[in-house]
Order: sequence, then C-alpha cells, then structure tokens
Amino acid sequence: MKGSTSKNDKWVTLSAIVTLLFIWWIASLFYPPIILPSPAETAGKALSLFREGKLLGELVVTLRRVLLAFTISLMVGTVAGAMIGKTKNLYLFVKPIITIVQTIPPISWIILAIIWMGLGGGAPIFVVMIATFPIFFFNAAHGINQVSKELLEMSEIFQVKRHRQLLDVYLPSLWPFISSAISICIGISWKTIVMAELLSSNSGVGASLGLARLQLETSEVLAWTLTMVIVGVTCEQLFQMLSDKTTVGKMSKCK
Amino acid sequence: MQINGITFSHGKKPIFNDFSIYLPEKEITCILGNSGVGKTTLLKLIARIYQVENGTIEGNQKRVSYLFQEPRLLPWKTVFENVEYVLLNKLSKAEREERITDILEQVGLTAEKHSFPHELSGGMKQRAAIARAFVGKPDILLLDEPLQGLDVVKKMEIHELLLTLWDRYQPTVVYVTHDVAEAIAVGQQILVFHGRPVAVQCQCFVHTPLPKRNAEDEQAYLKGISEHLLLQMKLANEI
Repeated sequence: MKGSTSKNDKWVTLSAIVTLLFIWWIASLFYPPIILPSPAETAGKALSLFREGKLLGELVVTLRRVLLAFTISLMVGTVAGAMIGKTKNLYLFVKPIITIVQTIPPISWIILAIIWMGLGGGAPIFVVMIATFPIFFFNAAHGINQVSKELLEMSEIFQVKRHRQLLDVYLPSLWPFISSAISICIGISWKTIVMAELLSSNSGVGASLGLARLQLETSEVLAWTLTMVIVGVTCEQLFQMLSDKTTVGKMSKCK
Repeated sequence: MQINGITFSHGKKPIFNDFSIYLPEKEITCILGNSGVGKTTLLKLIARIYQVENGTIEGNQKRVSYLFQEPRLLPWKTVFENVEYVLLNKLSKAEREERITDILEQVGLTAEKHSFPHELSGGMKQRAAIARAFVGKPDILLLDEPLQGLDVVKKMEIHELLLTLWDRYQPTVVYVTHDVAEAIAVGQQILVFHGRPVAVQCQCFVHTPLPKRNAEDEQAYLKGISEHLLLQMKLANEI
C-alpha cells in the first residue's frame, strides 16, 4: 500500500513537471525566442554550454563557493547557537542582533560586501554566510533546549565522558533541528549565490547569467536558470537521502 | 556506607538538616516514604548529582549505578549500544563485548540486542536498563522505584532478576519505593522517611536470607514486619 502510494507520488510529480514544460512550450509559440525561447531551444543551449565546458566550469566555481560558505555557516552557526542557546540571558541579548542580521535583505549585504571587499572578492561567500548563519543559529539554539535532561542526568551518573555525551546525546537530539536548517539553507544558498555573483563577480553561474542578459541571450539565461534548479533540487534530494540512511537521521525521528 | 550530618536545601526550607544514616555495605537498604519526602533527593546526593551543603557521604562511591523509574534509554541506539554507552572509554572493545553479551544473556535480551528501544515492550526496556545498571559492576546501585508502571507479573519477574543480579555482583543497594510489600521482598534494612526536614520514622531489619524469601515458615514473620511498617507509615502521615 505504502509502496504504491510512493509510486503514485512519483507519477504526480512527473506529470506536474510535464505540465509545466507543456505550458512553457505553448507560451513560447506566441513570443519570439528573444522574449521566451522554447524548452527545446533552452535544452539545446544548455547542451552546447556543456559541450564547450563552460557549464561545468562555472558550476564548479559556484559550487565551491557555496560549499565553503555553507560549511563555515553550519559549523559556526550551530556551535554558537547551541552554546548561546543554553544561557537564557546571553541568548536574550544576542537574539535581537541576529534577528536584525536576518531581516536585512541579501541585496543590501551584497552592496555592502562589494564596498568592503571590492568586485571579484569574497562577496558571494560572505553573503551566503550571512544569509544562512541566523537559520543555523536559531535552530541550534532552539534544539539545545530540547535535549532530554533525563538522558543527560543518566550520562552524568554513569560518569560518561563529555565528548561521548556530545556525540551520543547532544548530536542525535539536535539532528532534526540541524537537518531542517540544512534543508532550508540549501535553497537559500543557491538563490543568494547567483544574485551575489551576478552583481559582484566575473566568474560562476551568476556572472554567466549576467553576461547572457547583457548579450540578450535569453535561451542562455534560461539554460543557466534550469541548471541551477536541477542542481539545487539534486542537492536537496541527495542530502535527504544521506540523512535518511544514517542511523542518527533514522533514529532521531523515533524519539 | 555512612551518611554523616548532611544538610541540603531545595528552595528555602531544608530537605535534610544534620541528617545521618548508615547503609550497610553489600546489603539492600529500602527507603519507604510518601511522594516528595526526599527519597529521590537522597539518591541524587549519593550519586553526586546534587552536592551536600554540609556533612559527608562516606563510602566506596567509585562506580555508582542508577536504575530510574523510567528506563532512560537512548532512542537512537540499540539495546547493545545502550548498555555499551556506560562502558565507553572505560574498557577495551573486547572486554566490553564480553561483559555486554554476558549481562544481556542474564537479563534475557540476547535476541533483542540489535533492537531499538521503540521496538521493545515496557518490561524489556526495563530489563535493558537493568543490564546497563549492572554491566559496570557497580559498588553502589541506586534504585528509584524501578517497578513503577509495570504489571504484577512483570514486577515479580523484574524483582527476581534484580535479586539474582544483586546476589552475583553484591553492590550496596539503596532501593527507594513507597510500596511496603516491595520493600519487604528485597530489603535487609528498611527505613521509613517522613517530614521536612527529613527524619527517620522507623528502622527495621529483615533477617530472612536473600535472594529467596518465600519459605512458608517465614510468612508470619514477614507479615508482622509488614504490619509494623504500614502502621509506621500511617503515623508518619499523621505527624
């Protein structure tokens, strides 16, 4: 029953994608390619970018930036959130500061980063870090207070070493919060990095997107966009799969 | 094990004020008393989760073990891993495996060693917690109403298991309960707590041998103690 439902889900998802492509194709019949190229033209452009080696080259540049910013943000945000979240007064002091950082639109951060770091500097990495840090921070701060006091007390009585408590009690208890933050931040990172690269860099997918726009290469704009969608969705699915496969990921769901 | 003139407060009023008792080594002391009297607090003071304000707790407290009302198993770990959790960084892998295999066999969970807590019944979970409590060969074992919430048959099974394991490892046991029958079934010394700050309302010694206490000629003697304890608990309530 469950298997057939999951098969059914896949068919529904697939038919939604086909419907979207169909609507796009119909709409492209009414406009010239410079306004709206057809799905086939876009796919053809993506293929030629791939053959030229440009698609993979720029994608690697962007991926590397995202990965670096994401990892720093995940580490610093989670550790800071978990540590500060445990102390009520310190958390109340830090919370409004992080909330302000979170409320500032990414575009303002991009402009500030360009002023501070210049064009071609680390602005895209900085902006992704700033955009994702508060999410990791707040999720970890919330999660740390959900760690079972009974399990911690049991660990203390049995004189379990601190690093073991960290690995075997804190980490699995925090995992649902961290994994939900990762899922949200994957999407945010992709959107932010492209925007930051477009405005502040001469390399990466965002910069190529900007160049295509200047040259009125609409099919190339859509080809890059489509690539970002596919890579973004793949990353999210990949993470979900990995998370479900780990014991911690599986078992933290049956608390 | 000697508790010498301890003082401990939680809030304004002291729970213990210059409180002293003796807990005979390698014997089972049961503590009876109403809810909230300070029985669990005493266990946590012995386990050093709480620190005494004054006085001392003297005795071999190197390896302290605890059996809680609820099993407190890590939900993301198997039965084997839960038992192993309290031995990590203390013993080598081979020693750990040998001890865990042995204790799981004794508690009857060999077949369930790779099961997760959510796959076990209430009684099985408590057995896993018992395995965890004994696997470290404790000097002191603190039991905080470990039979709470179990049905009569499971209570009897767990009772028997606890006594068998106590007989084998001989830790000093402090067993907290509010069930007189339970205290008489396992206790060698029985204390009734009452009041705030806590005072010992009555102290009884049960001389029939453990672990088996079902000989018929002992029934009248045990019944006598039971009646005496019930009266003392009633008096403690009225004070």
